Amino acid sequence: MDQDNLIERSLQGDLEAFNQLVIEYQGLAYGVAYRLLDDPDSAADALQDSFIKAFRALENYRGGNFKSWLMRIVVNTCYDHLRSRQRKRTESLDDMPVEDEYVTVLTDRSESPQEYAERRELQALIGSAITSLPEVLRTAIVLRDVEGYAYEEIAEITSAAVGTVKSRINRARGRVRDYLSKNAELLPAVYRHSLE
Amino acid sequence: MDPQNLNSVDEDLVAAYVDGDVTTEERQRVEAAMAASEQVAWEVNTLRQTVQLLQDMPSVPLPRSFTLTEDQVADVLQERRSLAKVEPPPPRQVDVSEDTVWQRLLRFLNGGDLALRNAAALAAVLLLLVFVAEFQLQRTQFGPPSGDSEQLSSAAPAPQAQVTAVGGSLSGQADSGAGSSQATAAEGSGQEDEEPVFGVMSTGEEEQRTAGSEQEPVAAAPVQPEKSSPAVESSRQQLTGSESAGPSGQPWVTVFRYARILLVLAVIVLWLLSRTRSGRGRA
Repeated sequence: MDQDNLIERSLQGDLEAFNQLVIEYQGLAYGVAYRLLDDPDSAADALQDSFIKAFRALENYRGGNFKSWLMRIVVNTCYDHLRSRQRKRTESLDDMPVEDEYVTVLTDRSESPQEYAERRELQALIGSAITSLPEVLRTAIVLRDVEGYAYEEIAEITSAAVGTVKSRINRARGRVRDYLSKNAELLPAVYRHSLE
Repeated sequence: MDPQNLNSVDEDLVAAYVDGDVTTEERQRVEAAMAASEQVAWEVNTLRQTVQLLQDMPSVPLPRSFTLTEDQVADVLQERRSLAKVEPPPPRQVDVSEDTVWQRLLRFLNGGDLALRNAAALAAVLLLLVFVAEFQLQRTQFGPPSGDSEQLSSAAPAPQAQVTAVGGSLSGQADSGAGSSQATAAEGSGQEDEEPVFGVMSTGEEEQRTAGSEQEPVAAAPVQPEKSSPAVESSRQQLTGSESAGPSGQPWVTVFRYARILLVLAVIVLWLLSRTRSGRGRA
């Protein structure tokens, strides 16, 4: 159904119409939230909050790219969760790295246990590299290189100029490369030699 | 990185090259710089491989659906739904704006239970008939209008209205009128001047006491007839006439008076009942 029609119906109190929008965008949004927060539970909480916020703020949507408008809410909500988590962070066991459930789901049956272990280590390393970045650089590189958004879309989502976005992405890529170089032993051979 | 190469290949161009978003000329520039400098080549290659690693990250499957429930946004839903219902359709708005006060009054009067409303209307018609009959009765009692009475038509209404509207005081008025006429007669003849004095005393007793003089009322009594105008004089004659016609018209006057009260009450009660019934019907 037409997206504008769904939005109009949502504004008249049709929750079913809004949920069709949720179904359309929840996959993309969860990917961004997961990469920004690096935790499935936090990502789920942030995403649920984001959709509730989006529904409440729908009167403020003034047309244009709905996907960008929604993703801006998702990114900002993730920032809120990040800051909240930093405030609550303690040395408890809850903050210890946990196994990523989805990795098990995505296991390629043809790969050996050795390859499976290496893949998991690589993904954990890249995840750590992204998490080590400041918020704005993290958002820029996740949206561009992980999720594949265009520069213009990222500029819209982050409310920044396209030039600023490009600069952030360049810096973020450089920092991730430096992070991976320091842990080159965990990289696949094809990358290890070039990054060392 | 070689400063010369940095000048020719800046960060933005490297980023664009890594993204594959360069023109043929720009690509040749970057590749020339990479060939000239190992540092530039390392920079470009490592960035390209980093981007490749990031792009190879597996997509994340949804742990669950994030569709909203009514409870999560109940307040907003209620507000939006009520707003959507409250907004009247445009045609009705036009109708309301075109309504005149007269149309609204007619709609108000036409409302209510039909049978009771008709009964109220019937009572109103009967009330009108009673008024007409009463008027006719008074005309027959007072006789056909003469030239004098036509002259009185503007001045006489006061005593007549008192007679008709305050039916119970008809005899009293007649008495006082008779008293006045007697006073007028006494003025002329000089006999039986006690009766008019008593008549005045009964109404002006307090004034007499405050004045502290017993002579004044006696003196005041004859003053009134002197002041009376020809119209009042004629009304006295009429009242005297009605006194003479009283014994035959009195029962009818009483009947009409009660009929009038009953019919007024009937009109009010029936109309109110019709409105109440219609209100219950709508509820």
